[in-house]
Amino acid sequence: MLDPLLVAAGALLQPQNILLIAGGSLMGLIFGLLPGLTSLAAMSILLPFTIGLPPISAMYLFIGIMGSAPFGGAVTSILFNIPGEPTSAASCFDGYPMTRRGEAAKALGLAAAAALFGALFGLVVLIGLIPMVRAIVYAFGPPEFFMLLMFGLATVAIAAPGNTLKGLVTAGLGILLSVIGYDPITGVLRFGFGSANYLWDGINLPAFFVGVFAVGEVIGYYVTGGTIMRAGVKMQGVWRGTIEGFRELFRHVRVTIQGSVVGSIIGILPGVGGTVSNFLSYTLAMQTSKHPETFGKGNPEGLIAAMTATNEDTGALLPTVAFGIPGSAATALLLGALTLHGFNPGPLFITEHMDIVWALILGLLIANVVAITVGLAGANMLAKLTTLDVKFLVPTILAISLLGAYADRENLWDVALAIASGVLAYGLTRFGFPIVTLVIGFVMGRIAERAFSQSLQMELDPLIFFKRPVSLALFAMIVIVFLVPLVRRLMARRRA
Amino acid sequence: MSGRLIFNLMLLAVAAYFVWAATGYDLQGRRIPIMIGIIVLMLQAWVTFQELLKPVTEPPLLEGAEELPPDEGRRVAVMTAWMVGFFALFTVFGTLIATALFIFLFLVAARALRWWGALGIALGLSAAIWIVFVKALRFELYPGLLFGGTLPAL
Repeated sequence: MLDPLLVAAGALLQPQNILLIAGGSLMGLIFGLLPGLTSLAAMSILLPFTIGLPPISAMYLFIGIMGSAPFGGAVTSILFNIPGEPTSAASCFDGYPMTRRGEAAKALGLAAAAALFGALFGLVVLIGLIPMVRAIVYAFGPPEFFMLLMFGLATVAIAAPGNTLKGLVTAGLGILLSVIGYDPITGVLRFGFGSANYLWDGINLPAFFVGVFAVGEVIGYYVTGGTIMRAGVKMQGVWRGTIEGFRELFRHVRVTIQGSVVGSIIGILPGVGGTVSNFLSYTLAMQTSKHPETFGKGNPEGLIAAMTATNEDTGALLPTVAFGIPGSAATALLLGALTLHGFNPGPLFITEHMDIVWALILGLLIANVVAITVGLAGANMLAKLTTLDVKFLVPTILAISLLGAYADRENLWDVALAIASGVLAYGLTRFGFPIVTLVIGFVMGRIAERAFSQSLQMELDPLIFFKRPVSLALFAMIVIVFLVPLVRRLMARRRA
Repeated sequence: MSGRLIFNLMLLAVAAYFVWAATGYDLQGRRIPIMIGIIVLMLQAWVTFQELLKPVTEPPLLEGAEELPPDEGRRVAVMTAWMVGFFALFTVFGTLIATALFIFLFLVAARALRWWGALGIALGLSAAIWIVFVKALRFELYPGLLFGGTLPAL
């Protein structure tokens, strides 16, 4: 166990590898910051150039990108409500309202601390769970996963900020929008609205996010005028705010650990994706909070939940190295890189190439530290833009956001989709419908439908969800989620 | 008819469309959309009914203390027109020219800056996009219909 660690650590001290990991981290940070360009794009661009590198160096480069992108994505989410990466969208909900009340530095510090904690936690889980990964992966089949998503949706429905009824409507609307496109089971295009090609893969997630978060907000700026930071609010000092943000993390230990656990577990489950883990973590934090009504209004717990769960790529490393099954899109690319360098990830890989596994672990740790140090310095300069008149920001943010919508898959119609989603989001916000539930319904809807169909294909019995222990336990949790508010209300009445 | 009511009716129509369209698919394809669609339809009908009976006061646009301007509807329409305009410029002239033109026209129209200041910002941002996306990242920006771009299939 120690020899491979020493090999990986020794490699890390070589100047070439230090440069590679720092370069990878910076690239991940920049790609994370730019809407529409994700860490996946950065890894894809660099993949062919790594062929001549020693395998361990190539892994340091890739893991640098993977480790730093989540914080990069969170910076624009917090400052401008533009998710740099789909996985950072959940940090818009509470990070951006904090910026509006002059707490940008605190929000950035908190996001950095939460991301770092999540990554560290994920690494401990990764090291600890390597021997148990098989059991965990096998315990979660489609029925369990369906129940897990239902649990997430149930928590949203109950804890939606504002009007619960309207929250349910937008959650349902999000699910309906998510099923647009070809049905993975029957292969038929559903709800094409006359489009036979564009909507085949469904509504493009990054373009939809750009629309809902950035374009909707830009319309709001134009209507209300002023500055992003509210009038009369004094901007918090950079260092004071950042330190306060770091301190804030330790005031919310439960949410911090909860988010890290959710991110790690969801990361282990192959094919689920980081966006789901962030939203699940957020909904869980909302449900378990004493003040769910403050979520979406700048509650630090919401930001912690969203950021700690960005460690899903750490969890996703487990099935990737242990079985050769990538847990996320980023680890799928990493798997490609490992194969390109002559490795065959699977059970034997862990025993024969533990030095590479350690390189990935150490690399993730360093990448997070680099991203947070460089990112915080740069982001706090960007934060000053929030005091500018929105007259200057509206055209600039709009142009960059819409370019981001286009950049994801270079499709012109994604720009139109982002504009339409923005107008819809503005209307929903304007008339009291929560956006949080729309986005969560959208993210989870399609995956839940697929898991539901797969479960019924496994056994042509709808009771399959109640026959398996993990699935049944999750169902019990859903029932509890619905019962808790009722019990709370009854107890409050008794007290009154 | 108020904007609020129109918006609520529009949501109702969207849910109704999903339910109606889903009836045309086979059992596996329609199960979830019909189930969710009917729930949304019922809930939205109730929301609309409630708001018809007892119109609630307008909530603030964004959480906080902003007051909405009296000409909000006009401003939303103008902003939407700007966005549609940007999309048209993007389609015809491509990313770089559209970005420069849009920012310049917007800043001049909003009287945020004099024309030369607006031109500086517009050209500066376009140049930054070109350097980052084209030169550094080797990303292919949309060239525009006038310069060899094509409309992707719908």
